[in-house]
Amino acid sequence: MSGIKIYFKKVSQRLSIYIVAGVLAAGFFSCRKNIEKRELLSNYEENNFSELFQSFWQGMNTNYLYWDQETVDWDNMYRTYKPKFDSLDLRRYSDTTMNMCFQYMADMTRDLKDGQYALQLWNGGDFRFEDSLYKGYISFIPKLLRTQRIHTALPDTLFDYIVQYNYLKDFDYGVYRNWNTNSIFQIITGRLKKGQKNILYTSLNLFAIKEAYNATNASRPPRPVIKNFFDNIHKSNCDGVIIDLRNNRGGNLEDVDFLVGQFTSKPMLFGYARYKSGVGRLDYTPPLPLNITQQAGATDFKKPIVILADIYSAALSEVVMQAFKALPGAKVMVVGEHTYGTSGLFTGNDISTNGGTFALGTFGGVRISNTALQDKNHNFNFSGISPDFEVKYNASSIDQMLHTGVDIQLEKAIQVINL
Amino acid sequence: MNINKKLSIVLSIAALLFVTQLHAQLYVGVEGGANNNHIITNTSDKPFFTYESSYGYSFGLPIRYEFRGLPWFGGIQAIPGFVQKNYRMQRTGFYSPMYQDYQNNYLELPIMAQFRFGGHFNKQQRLYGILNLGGFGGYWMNGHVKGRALSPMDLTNYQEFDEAYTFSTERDNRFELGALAGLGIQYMPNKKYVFSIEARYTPTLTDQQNAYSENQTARYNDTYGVFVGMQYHLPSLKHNKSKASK
Repeated sequence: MSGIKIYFKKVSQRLSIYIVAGVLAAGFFSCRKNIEKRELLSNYEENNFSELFQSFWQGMNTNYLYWDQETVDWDNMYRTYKPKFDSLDLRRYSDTTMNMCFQYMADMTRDLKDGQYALQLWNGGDFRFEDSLYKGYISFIPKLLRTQRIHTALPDTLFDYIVQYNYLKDFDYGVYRNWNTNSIFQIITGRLKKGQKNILYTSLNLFAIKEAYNATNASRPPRPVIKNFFDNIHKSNCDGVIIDLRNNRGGNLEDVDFLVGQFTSKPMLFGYARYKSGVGRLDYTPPLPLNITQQAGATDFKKPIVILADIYSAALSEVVMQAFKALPGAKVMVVGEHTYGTSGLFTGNDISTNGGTFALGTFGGVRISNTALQDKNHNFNFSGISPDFEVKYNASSIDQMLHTGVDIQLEKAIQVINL
Repeated sequence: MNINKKLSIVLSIAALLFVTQLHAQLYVGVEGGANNNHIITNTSDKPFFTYESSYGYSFGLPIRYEFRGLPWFGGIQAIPGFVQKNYRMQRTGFYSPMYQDYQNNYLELPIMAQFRFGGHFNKQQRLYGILNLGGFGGYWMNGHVKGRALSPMDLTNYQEFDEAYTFSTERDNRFELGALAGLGIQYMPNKKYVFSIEARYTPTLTDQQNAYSENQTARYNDTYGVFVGMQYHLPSLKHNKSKASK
């Protein structure tokens, strides 16, 4: 074979190899999925029901903290409800279509586990939930609706009156109003008249203890009341303490340290928290330890602690109860009903925690936890903290309380602590 | 990847192998290097949030079949080894104190065809430019995550964490496939030893996550590395020698 032919044979051999390799390399890259560029949730426009659905579904998909715990199939919700929302755009806009939209969103989310979940519709609407029709509602809060079906919340004033006059000596109280939020903090303290033992009692209607303690302007300054209570705890100047958190819906996170930190001389772990850590539905931070920091002057409190709770003891009340139960050496018992089962908090802002509450343009908003809470065993509390001694109120016992002034849950707490 | 693409890949590799004579020379060695890994994904829907590349290291045991009579073709090379593919999730702006460093360790098997340019340096020595093209398979063995997040108990402060990465069977795809392209220099001082330095690009073609969600954003590793290696020419087997002597 002539030299030129050999040369061309070699070149064409090499060229064919390079071409094959180049085609392979180009072909490989087509295996990658297209990465879609998405808008910030806050930039979503909700000009029609289809867009509203995308905003709602995507917001829940990326910001909700419990998808790894849920039985709700969120992808199935997408496939089932997207066509329904699309069909609403084919109808003339009216109250009926708005109600249908609200109903769809309620149906999609009614079984979610986050106790903080609330869907808000600024213009209001009607929806069916379980066997009831809710007309002209602005909020859909499935956890609260289910709780109200058990019984409505008893008014704080009822307990305050009965406890003050029928159960306490050395009664004292403090009241502080936060003029920004318009919330009113109240603390009641005293010692029980009933029973053989010297039992301290305190009632907190919400958690703003530290804020009230530091307030310079209060109608009935809580600071001396709080200080007196803490001093008694530091000195263990009692045979036990009852902390009444019935109908306490939560409050400021700083109160966990400020209250529970009075009962221990060293830091202690009581649970874990996690946030969202990325754009994926299952992107979470590792569990971050929740520690109580002991407060100035605190000693290890080793006397019995009874916490009164009911189904409206929620959010920070449950965190505080969890923290008390982690106190080493302390005997902590819960009397009353199982708590609300919030399982999460709002802390910081939603940008810093990468998840949580988001808006649906001018339509409304979705409120969800931005911090998920676990106990020391990394379990989520969706069903509420169960009482060690269950005492439920019903219509009959409430009526009895109104006529006789006997608080059956407090009676049980006294019995338990006197054992 | 559809069946036609798979078939063309298999046939192409087979064609490469059958192009030449079947007398081969076997080289084995060791290589190590550093890399910079990027996460290819979308973060535009998260405020003050980005992924940044991170450095890692890798090492491997190259095994190369070189075919006689084809000086321009370095042969088929496999490099079973270990590689780190690290990256950082970084909050930006006001939230910049918060981050998460991911350290991910993979067992990897790259397989490539090596093409050579140049050659004669002097009577004994050879100096080639090399081009490696191929692909790899890998297994995500374990990981570690270290970072800083908002302190749950003190919102004016941050809390640090440092722990082993917990895999989610639903989320994490622990097997990956990818492509490979490398450019480098290969120096042979004699017939026994080969020294090389190479810049290599290994993009994954499979998502780091399983497909577990509608509207899911894919996540790929793009790794750029520099490797130095040494290979040793294994002596021919006895039956091949006796065949050659005939």
